[in-house]
Amino acid sequence: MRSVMFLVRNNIKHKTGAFKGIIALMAIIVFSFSGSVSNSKNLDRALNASLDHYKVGDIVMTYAEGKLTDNIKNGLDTNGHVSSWRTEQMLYVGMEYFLNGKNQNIDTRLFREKDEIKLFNDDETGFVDKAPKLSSGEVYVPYSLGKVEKLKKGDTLEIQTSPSTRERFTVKGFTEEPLYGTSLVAYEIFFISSEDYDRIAAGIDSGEVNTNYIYKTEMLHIFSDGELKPFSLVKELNDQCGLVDESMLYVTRNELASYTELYADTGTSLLYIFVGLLAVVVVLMMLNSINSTIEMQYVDLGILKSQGFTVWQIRAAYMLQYIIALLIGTVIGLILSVPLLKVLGSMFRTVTGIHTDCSIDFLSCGLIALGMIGVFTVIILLTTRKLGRLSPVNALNNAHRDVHFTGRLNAPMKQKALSLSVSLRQLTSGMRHYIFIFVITVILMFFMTTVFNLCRGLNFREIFGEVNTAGFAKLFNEFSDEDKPRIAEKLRELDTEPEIYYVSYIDNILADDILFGVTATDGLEKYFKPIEGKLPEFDNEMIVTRIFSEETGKGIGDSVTVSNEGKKAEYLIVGIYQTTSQAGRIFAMSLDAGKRIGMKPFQANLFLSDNSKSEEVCKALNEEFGGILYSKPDDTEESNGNLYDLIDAFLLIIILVVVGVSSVFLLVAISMICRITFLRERTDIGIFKATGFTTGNLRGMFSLRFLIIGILGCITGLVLSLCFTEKLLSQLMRITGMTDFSAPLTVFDILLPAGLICGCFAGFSYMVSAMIKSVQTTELICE
Amino acid sequence: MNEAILTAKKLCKSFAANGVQNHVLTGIDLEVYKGDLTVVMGASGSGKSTLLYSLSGMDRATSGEVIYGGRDLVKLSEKELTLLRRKDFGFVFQKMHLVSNMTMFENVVVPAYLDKNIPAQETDKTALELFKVMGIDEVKTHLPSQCSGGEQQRCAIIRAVISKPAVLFADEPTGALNRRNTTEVLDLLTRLNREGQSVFMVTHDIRAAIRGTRIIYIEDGNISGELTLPPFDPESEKSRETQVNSWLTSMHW
Ligand SMILES: Nc1ncnc2c1ncn2[C@@H]1O[C@H](COP(=O)(O)OP(=O)(O)O)[C@@H](O)[C@H]1O
Ligand SMILES: [Mg+2]
Repeated sequence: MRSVMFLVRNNIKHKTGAFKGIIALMAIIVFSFSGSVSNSKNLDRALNASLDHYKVGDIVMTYAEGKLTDNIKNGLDTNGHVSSWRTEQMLYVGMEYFLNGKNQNIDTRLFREKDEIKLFNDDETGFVDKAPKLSSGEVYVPYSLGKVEKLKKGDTLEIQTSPSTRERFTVKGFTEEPLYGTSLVAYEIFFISSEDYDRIAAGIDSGEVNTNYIYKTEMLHIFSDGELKPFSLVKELNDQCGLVDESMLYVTRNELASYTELYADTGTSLLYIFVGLLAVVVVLMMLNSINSTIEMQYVDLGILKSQGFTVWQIRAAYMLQYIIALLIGTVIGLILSVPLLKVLGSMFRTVTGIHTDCSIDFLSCGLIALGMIGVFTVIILLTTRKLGRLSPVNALNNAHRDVHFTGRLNAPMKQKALSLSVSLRQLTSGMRHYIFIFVITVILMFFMTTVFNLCRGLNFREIFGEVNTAGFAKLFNEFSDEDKPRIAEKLRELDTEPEIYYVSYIDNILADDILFGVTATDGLEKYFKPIEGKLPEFDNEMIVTRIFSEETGKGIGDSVTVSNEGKKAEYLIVGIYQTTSQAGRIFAMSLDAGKRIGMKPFQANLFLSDNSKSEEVCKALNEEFGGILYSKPDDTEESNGNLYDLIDAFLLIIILVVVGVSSVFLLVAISMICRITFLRERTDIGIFKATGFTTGNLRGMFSLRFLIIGILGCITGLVLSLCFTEKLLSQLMRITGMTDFSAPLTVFDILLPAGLICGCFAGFSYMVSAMIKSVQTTELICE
Repeated sequence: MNEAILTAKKLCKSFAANGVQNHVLTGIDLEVYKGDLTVVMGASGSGKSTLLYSLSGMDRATSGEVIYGGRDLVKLSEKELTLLRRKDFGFVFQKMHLVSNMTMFENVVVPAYLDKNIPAQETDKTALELFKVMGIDEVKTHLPSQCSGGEQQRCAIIRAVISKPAVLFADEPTGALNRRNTTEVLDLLTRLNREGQSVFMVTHDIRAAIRGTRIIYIEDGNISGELTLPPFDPESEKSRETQVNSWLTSMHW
């Protein structure tokens, strides 16, 4: 053992085996995943703790006033799988609200303040012990909304309660809100004082408040005993007591959590892929380094053997050396990820509204790292097998390696492009040494283009910015189909080419006994693009998402039974589309088709030839049709602007991190490979120098071949991207409902990584090649 | 005759090792004449190689001057020295030092291509002739690892002389060769010298030394004796060997 330790120390001291390089690469890998993995874990823990704290049920239903019948309550009491349930009153704001006067297109609910409220303290490092009681006119708003809209205490929140009246509140503080608190879900929950709550509720009862604007609802939290999947329990309860049929909204706790964790989860799965790819690179580097050292130390190893070292001792020495390097790298990576996690934590808090303690999850990260080291060790063990075949006699007598190159790939030497010729020769004659760095390049290129592509795919401004709506109209209960021609006529008076589409949707409806959402509209062509099949034309047709198709097992040409509020109808699937709404658990049909199951339009979308007139048009509509609708211009872009900016900043940081990590990784990998190459070619470099090549010539030649590999690697990586990026991203984005991710690679996606890689290759190898200066021609002298 | 192409004046070279100065050359004055086959002999470690590399600008002397073509090599920049190696000097080493991934022929022509004034076809033609003359024409497309030591060394000599250097420097060119290969290489050097090539060769092999027209003996970092001989003639090889041997004995060889 002592002699083995001596060998290890000796190897490390003499920098054989690229000890430092392996440490650096491992540190980068651990750094990359430990921040992200810990962040996901912390978020998951904090989110679940918060959901528990607010007593959020495994299933959360919303009912309009009076729809949560005794029959349903009875069903809940008698069902063996329901361990408990509770209800909570809330006011549903269906029209609009304003922050500091700015219109928000997000639905909200008002809750009565309660003891559980988790109120952020002033420096946002945690929560106050107990949220102070609200007085009349005060409101607590979700933290994430506050961040996105840059709210301060004392800012105003106004809620439209009738065409001409608004309730006005002053922001008193910011809450952690695990239900809909993430800025990615378009609902908000505000807490107001009991006094205000009762007053508005009384207004609704007495008819003072327009129930088209704000109405009473009830939230039902069902806690399951965990034996049935939430879905199955819901179905069982629906069969038993009509739980879903009467409800407005249905969501499971898991779904709520997945919305909040969307970015963290997408980021983490992406990182797992990245880390997996990097791990492959590290393995390749280690193999290359081991092979090269064995080759260069051939004689030394022979001497060791002749001195009585066993093969196992020599192999153990190699292995220990790498394991030590990997362990040191792991520790360094973990330490480095502490500040990264701080940054990630606060970025995520902004988006999710959930407070996490920024602690590294040493256990999970350590286990992942140890697992990787285990795999690496096995690989090293396999590579060093060849040492067993090393005969001391051979090693000592054939001090020269027997190198035979196949001349087949060799291009002739050209005087005009001498450097290029020599570089190419070095490449073709040493293929197996360069294959590693080629693979690294391909992996990095593929990964970077994929990430850039993904970042654009996640860019909501681009995804949703296509339909250029001029305004919306919320249709009151008083609206009927007979009003349509009058509205159309009025619009034609106001604009040359007006379009209006009527829309209805139900968030939860049973199709083949599975819950989905449904949209019915007479504007199918405007909103839906089939990726397969066609759009529905008749009232017995529908178009569905891939997720729908997979869950029901039905595809184009199959029929599905849809039931709503006691009405049942059969529809034929005629096409497939994709959407992020309801995370893809949705289908669509024409308005007439929707009528068959009792759907009635409650919103109309306006398109004008000239969007600058939208304000004026909406005003005119409200004046003329005030009794049946409330119309407002579309300012989605404006009201979502801050959110978009936030996401843009977020994506920019992802890009920067990926580019940064990749560059450092490239730097380490290239300098390792260059150093090994340099050591191997030291004599050749001396010969070239002695025969009249200048240091400049040689440095150029040295870097040129790496540049060539860089370019070839980029091209291959690009081809892989073209083949697999969409598939990979579709898989990743599935959770959002994007089953057929398609964002064609842009010049930016290609040129930035390619430029970065080739630049790094040329630059770093040229830097390392400065070592060529140190080669003296006198090194060729030997006794 | 007797025209000096290289002149060393008070040439000193020392190496610092572990803080101790090792004075290898201690003030050598030497003229190398055009057309000579100058041989340097001496005990192992006496500084023969050091002298060769200081004279040829491969290594910089610690003090003194080395005059070549009116210029002091000690004062030239690295770049100027490289150009000198490319155009004016040729080198042959004990190990053949051929680039392992280039064929024998490419090993010769690639460095020659560096001189853009000489078209590639001309270089190829000259190289081809030399390969024929040296009798290694058949192996010109082989890689060095597929050739014998003698073939490799002859290839290295062709590489050194293809640019028609003013001086061909050879450090123990036969040191790594067996008897037959040694003769082949020495015959080649003798022949080149007879055709006018100035050669400066370091050796401790007596069979190589007798090829010289001038033999210099180095001891304790300085020249301790020298012997001038007529051009080598295979007929009188035996008597020449006896003569050189007795001279070397007098030099405490
Ligand atoms: N680069 C060097 N660094 C230190 N000492 C050197 C170096 N090169 C040669 N020497 C020393 O100089 C002396 C002469 O070496 P060398 O010229 O190679 O002798 P030889 O006559 O055998 O060719 C030796 O003692 C050797 O140790
Ligand atoms: Mg020597």
